[in-house]
Amino acid sequence: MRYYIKLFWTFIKMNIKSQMAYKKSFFLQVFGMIINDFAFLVLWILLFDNFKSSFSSKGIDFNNIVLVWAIAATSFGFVHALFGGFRTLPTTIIGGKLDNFLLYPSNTIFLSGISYSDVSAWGDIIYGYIIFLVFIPFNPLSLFLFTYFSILGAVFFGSVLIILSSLTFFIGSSEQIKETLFNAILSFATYPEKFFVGPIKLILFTFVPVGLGIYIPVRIITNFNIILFTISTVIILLFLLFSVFIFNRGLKKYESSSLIILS
Amino acid sequence: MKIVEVKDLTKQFVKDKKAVDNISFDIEKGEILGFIGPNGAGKSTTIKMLSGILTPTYGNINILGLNPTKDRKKLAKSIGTVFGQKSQLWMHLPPIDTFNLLGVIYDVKPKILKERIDKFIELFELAPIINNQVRKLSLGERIKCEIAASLIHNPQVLFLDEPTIGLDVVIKKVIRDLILKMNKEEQVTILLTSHDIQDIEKLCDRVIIINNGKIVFENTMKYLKYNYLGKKLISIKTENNFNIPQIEGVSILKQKDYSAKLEVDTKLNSIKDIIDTIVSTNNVLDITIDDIPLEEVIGQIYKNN
Amino acid sequence: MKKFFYLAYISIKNYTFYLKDFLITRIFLVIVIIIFSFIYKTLLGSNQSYASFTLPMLLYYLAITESIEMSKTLIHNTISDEIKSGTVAYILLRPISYISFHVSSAIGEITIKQLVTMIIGFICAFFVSGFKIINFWMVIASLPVIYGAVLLNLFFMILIGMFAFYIEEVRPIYWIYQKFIFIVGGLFVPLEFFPPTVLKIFKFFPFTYMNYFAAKMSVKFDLHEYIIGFSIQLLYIFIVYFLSILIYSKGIKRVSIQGG
Repeated sequence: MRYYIKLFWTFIKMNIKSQMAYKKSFFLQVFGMIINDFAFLVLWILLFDNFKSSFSSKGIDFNNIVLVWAIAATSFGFVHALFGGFRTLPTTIIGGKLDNFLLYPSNTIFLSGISYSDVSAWGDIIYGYIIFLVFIPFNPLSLFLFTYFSILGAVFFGSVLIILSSLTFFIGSSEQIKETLFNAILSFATYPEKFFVGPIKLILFTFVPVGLGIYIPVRIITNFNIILFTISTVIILLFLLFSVFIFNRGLKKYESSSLIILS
Repeated sequence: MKIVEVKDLTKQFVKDKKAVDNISFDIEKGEILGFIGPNGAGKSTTIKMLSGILTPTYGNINILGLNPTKDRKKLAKSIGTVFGQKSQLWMHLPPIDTFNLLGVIYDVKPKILKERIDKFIELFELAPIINNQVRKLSLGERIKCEIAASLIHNPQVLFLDEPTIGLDVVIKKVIRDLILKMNKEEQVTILLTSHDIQDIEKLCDRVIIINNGKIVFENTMKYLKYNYLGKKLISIKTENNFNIPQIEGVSILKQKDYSAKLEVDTKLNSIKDIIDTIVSTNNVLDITIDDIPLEEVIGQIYKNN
Repeated sequence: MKKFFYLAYISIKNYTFYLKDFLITRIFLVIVIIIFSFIYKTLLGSNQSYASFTLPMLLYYLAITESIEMSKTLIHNTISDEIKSGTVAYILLRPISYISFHVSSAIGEITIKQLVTMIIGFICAFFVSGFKIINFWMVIASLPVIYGAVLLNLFFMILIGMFAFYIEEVRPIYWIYQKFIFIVGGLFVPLEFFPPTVLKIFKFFPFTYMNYFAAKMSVKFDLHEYIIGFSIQLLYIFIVYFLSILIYSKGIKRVSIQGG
């Protein structure tokens, strides 16, 4: 809807303008995050230098590492820069700030997402694009797919955050659970799929669904497959719908009892 | 014309205790209705139900023909809120940015939005501060902006939940004048909750007193003033032994050698006459004049019921 | 002195209140150990060990380095906030008192966190390695260097917080510091896994005497290395402590002159 697109852009501008009120801090955080992310790459470069044969015997080359990191960084970056409110949602709910959003004539979950932006996340996005463009051989299709799956990956991460945060409606502050599970997914997301053999693979495609959000997109970018492309798009969008459904259920509960029950 | 109709409204959070117990009232267009009561009386719960963020256990609410629970988003376009502790303004940006943002949220046409913002800048005298960061504004300036923000989208109904809480006397006056101005200029219907009696006295046409979730009084401000608010408490410290003033309307609550606490009824004698009598028969070192606390007023009302 | 012990006791008591939350966050350590079991297996390839580190040793190594890393309190933010808000100008403590206060408030909590995390890590390493154990007497002998690493880290974080006298935002400094710990501090792999030239350079940084050193001694104890390393560790503790005092003294003068 045109209204929501306009709302989206207005909030992005407001968030950036608000952050730019402190220019030094803004650039320090963005730049600091880029350096921060590069450190991990340095780690891999050092290991690759020493263990070339071990890696290649598993079929892992340096480009695999870069690609998986790039997708993880840009997906993470997009969701935190544009819908940063999802990461802080349990606090928003517990602090009663949700009421502010309920009073507006707009979709509540949408508002709670766009109302906050994490400055350093812009650094993650920039970093992801830098390493993608530097290390992955240029190809218009892969660049398009990279952007496409970064956005879809952001949708995936957003859905995870919404579901985990919505637990707050039912069991009280789910901040720790959300952080632990989200960081678990994020951790797995920065390692190429080929490392993980055996029963762990099943878990990575179900309970810790990093397979859905990161590994499959990486496979598609490396080797485009229209069927996999369609299926992953559909599943991630369904996952989003499911997360919104959970949130709305929780919201109903919140509206009937406010914060009295939650502690 | 009735803008707000509330019937048998009840909210029960826990067993055996109703936060709001079967209340019914209406608000006419353009009216300023005061909702007073002590803490925990059910004021905020009622306002939450009226604005749609809390669902009633049972009862009916009709605002502008809409049901707040079912039509919350639609109704949101026609109501404005200022909840004392919750701010709409973005701290690190000037208030004009928040106003523009609200214009987008409420889908106000740009031309109309500009007109309204300019109008508020003039009406609320915001010109000197409109481009300063909100966090650098004084408390009074900030509250003015909060109220302006709540009216950007031209709502027909305004809910003010404890708008003057924590403010000093000077700022309270500024806010009250603003609210009256708004009511006149914009024809906004206002529901105001407070446990400050001065707020109610200065602003409201009608008053509802709520206690323990129930309505214990509903009448015009004139009636409340005339029948219940005429009493004052006077504390006096004297240099010599206190002499009881020989004038009608004075009852002694407490008395020590050099001090006393009196309750005076200004319906029987004007405050001027009573003070004159006290001062002429005593060497007054210190004198304090207070309104009867709200709890006592409510107690009084209970007695009369 | 008694005051400081009592402070430590109170902060431990405070923390057990959040026990449930604390345990939930330790799940992350389990995840990390599981992830790295796969990485280590790949690195070792068909060999039983690399640089004398077997897979079980690596897993226990990781448990120790991570336990130190995961028991931090974000004291750099606390100190930064106190400086930025002007609280420091308000209380105007002597540098040693200010630093000691923060150390004693934090050390109790950190020590308990580290111990519990390490034990959880060991249990996890035990299962993931296929029920293998290491020589735990090495761990016990290494407790001084483990807590030396904890203390040195605490002092570094305090030092980072002190930069708030000069910089608006100290978090990016912390991120960079943490990355040095990750790489030069051997958080994920022992430094022997890096190219030997790199290792020579790293030895000049204090970070090699923190997580890496503590964990290495715990799985591959060597008296000679231990004595040298522990001495250097203590030296760095004093250097960083002294630097914090220096920066605090200089910084507080600025603040007092400018009126907070």
